[in-house]
Amino acid sequence: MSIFNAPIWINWKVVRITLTILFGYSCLVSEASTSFSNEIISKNALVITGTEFYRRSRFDVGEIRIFLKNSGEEPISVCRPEFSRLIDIKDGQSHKYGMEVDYLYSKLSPPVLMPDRNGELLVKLLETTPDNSKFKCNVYGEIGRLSETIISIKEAPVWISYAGFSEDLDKIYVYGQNNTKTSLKIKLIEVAGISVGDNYQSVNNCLQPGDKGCLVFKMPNQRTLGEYIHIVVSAKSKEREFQTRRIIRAVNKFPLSSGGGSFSPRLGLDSEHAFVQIMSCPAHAHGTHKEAAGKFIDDCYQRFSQDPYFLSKMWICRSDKPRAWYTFGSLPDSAVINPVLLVSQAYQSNDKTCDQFCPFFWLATNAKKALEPNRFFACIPVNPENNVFSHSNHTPDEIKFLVYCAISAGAKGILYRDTPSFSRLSQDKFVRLNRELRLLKPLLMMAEPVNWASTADDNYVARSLLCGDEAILVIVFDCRYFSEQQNRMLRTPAFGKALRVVKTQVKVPEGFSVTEVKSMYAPLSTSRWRMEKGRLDFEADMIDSVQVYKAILRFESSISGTKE
Amino acid sequence: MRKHWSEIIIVALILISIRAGQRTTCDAQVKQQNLHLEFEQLVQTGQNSKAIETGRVLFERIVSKYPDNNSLHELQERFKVAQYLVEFISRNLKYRQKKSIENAISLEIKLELPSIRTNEEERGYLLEPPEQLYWTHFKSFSHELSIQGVSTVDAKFLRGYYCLRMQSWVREVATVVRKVIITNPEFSDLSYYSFVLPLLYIDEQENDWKELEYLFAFVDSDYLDAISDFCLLRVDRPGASCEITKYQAKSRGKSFSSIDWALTASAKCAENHRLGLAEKILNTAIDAIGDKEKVVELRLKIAEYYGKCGDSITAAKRCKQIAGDFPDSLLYGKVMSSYFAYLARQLKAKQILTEIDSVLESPSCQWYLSQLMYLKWWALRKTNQQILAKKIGEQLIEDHERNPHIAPILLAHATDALSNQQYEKCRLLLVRLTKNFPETNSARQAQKILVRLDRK
Repeated sequence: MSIFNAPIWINWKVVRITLTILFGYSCLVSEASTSFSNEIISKNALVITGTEFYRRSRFDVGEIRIFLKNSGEEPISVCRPEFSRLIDIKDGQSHKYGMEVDYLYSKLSPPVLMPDRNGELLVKLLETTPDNSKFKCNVYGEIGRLSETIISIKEAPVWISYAGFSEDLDKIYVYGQNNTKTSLKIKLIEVAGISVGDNYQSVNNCLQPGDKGCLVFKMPNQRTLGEYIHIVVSAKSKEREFQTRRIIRAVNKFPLSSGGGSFSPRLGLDSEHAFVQIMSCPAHAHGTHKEAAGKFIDDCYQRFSQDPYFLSKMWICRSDKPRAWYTFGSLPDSAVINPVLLVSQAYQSNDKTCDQFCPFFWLATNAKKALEPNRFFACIPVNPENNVFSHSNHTPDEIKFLVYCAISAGAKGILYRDTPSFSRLSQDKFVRLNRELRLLKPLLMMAEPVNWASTADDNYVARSLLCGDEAILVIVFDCRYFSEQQNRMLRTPAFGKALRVVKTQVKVPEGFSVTEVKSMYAPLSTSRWRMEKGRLDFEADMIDSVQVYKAILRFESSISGTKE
Repeated sequence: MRKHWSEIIIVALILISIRAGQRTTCDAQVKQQNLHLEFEQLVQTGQNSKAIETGRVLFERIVSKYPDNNSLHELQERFKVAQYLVEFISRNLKYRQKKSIENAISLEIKLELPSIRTNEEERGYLLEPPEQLYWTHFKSFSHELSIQGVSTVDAKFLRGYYCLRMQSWVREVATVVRKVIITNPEFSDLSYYSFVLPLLYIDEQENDWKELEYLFAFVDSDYLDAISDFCLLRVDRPGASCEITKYQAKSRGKSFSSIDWALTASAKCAENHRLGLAEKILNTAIDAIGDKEKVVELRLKIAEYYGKCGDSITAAKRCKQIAGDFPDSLLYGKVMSSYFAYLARQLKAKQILTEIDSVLESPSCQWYLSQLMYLKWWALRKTNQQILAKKIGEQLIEDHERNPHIAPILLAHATDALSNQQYEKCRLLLVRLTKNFPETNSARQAQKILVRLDRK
């Protein structure tokens, strides 16, 4: 009897095993693909080009980013993801579906995905999921299911912490941070649909664990303020290569104004504001967190339909800080956060590392992390209320300290709360501070905090900001400000004024040299600074609470095969 | 023989050269004396610029005469700093003036003018703050100038020349600043720069502004307060600040009281967390007065400043010292009640209970009895002595019906009643509290509880 004539006996056991193996294999393939950001499943017009999980801090439950491409011919909008947790079966060969996992909100950037354009679907989870959990995710559009993918909860090795722009919006500065415990090398692959090849400048692109580097690319055309730009970055370690993407907004603004919205050029403040306030504040108003987030997204979609370049702003206030900042931080293009108020328990329970030299810096760092890669604007109380973390009105020196605390943590704008009621002397000092900030704006727009500076004096702390391939800003703080605590209030002890020379060191990225060190007032004489073996040493003259220095960088040699 | 003659010639030549040298030295001395005379005459006749020219020549001669003299080196350093400041301020302010004029002129007219070249060095930099300039160069002027190791005549000249030179530079800067401000009154904040060099030049101890009083007149009268504050708060020069206030009072035909000034100035220092300076100012005022009660008042003010800035430990310590130094003062009760209040801020309830009874019995504290009793009531509650606290509280309510100190006691009794489910009693106490002391924090709290009670 020929084998073909034999009756067909279906061996269900074999079928089940075969199907299980096939399903497991397909899951594994899709998982591997997501990790390496290749195209996975293509159903209808929406292609998933990669996924990523990231937890910003211990206060954050985490978020998932699904990178999409509209390969169809029609615009796509309003994506709704649906998650089911996959539970590993013991043999490790396959998965079975668990319960549907709820999330707080999902946001598509840009809100409408035009044909052949890349987008990003951000999903903020409701609870922290265990490491290595796996989800099956279906993405639904208006017309039904668009796509499905498997997402693995494993933190991405590199995180794009910020993308800044030059004043004329033709240069982009992409900052990546190494999240792994081994060194990584980052590369810029694509910006706004352009494959950059070797035509970009790397600054500290061989990243040690926790360190940041910058990739600078001069675009052939100027971008428009508010334009959505797709970037692709790769990170390579000894073991593997990883690609990440991001949709970021082209912004060349550093707002400097009063929180009440009153513009006062007399005080050295801006006369206009590029960001549109959509909501204040989702942490304690607008219903539940889910409802508030939903309302914000709806409002943004609506405004987008009128002006696709509009930039959103949100106020996130003191309620449940800093957790609330992480909850809503991923929603807007910018958020105004007051880093001067303090949850003392949260701060005290945090290990005081050298980074956390002051509670205000710690809060500002959290605010920055909650917004990354978007912008955090620091709300600085000028005439504080009774319940804030200080006794009386801040002196101009203290205001300067608070402002630079926020800036050194990565704030991309300063909004003074209320109009200051100063004496003439204090007002003059306040105006001078604003002049200083205006002068620094072009650098601050592209700057990202890096942990590269230190001082030889315990009473002073130096923080640094890498400004692409142009400069390193070094901000030296007098730690005596707000150094005493009594009855849960921080205060500045009494001390006399005098000039103190503080020896300061800064790491200089490989392949770069320092051509000049400048204070805000004049270049430092060459006898007061020295650059040797990748380290800059200089003397900071401390009289005020804060002093700012600029170390001007010059590219010396190619270190990564890349060139300008 | 020939050898002998040659020796004679050599000796003769040596003698001639010595004589010539002596004559030259004599000539130089005469010249120097002449220069001294000329300098003095020029100063006396008010020809300052010529005097400076002559003085410069003489100064250089004296410097070369005493090459290792340290006091001359100090003087040279001061001149160097002063010259730098004059050049720095003048250059920057003149640039601002140019820019200001440029901005004021309309575009059409501007096109007809030759373009003003901007100074490359200045682009991208801010003008260094005046206090920064002061403190950066303070070291060169930080101690009294004593000219030693030179002849008396030279020393006299050097002092005169130093003053003349400094005053000339001070006037130069003040004139430039004034011109800029006249061109654009928005630049009034530049007035501070007129005072950087004078503040370095005039010693805080001597504080002699007679020669430079014209500077005060150069500044817009509204801005003098800011300059006075600048001297006080930015460069730690209370003496200069006081002189400006004195000048202001004189020019307005008002009387000047150094005690009033000390109180105002110390309050400003305290507001700016400059407690050391506030204390120094008040201590100077205390040294100058003989009235015991005024001394206690000013010393208590020092304690208050510490308290206001959140330093209750030092505030309590200061109160204790005053009470120890002046146990029979009329203000003893006030001092002691402040002392216990600062202890309360430190939550030192036990210490209050240990020390307060003897004070309560003191006859000089009777005026402050309600406050002291209130503090005792607070300490008793804090140490969970509720029965005693209730007794004192009720007594206070009875004896001091209108005293705002009983507001928190009423609130505490009301919340006690609430927790015992005595709603009516609670309501009565809260109504009394909101009616009698509506401005207190306790009343605001009471209002909230009343709203909740009404819902019941």
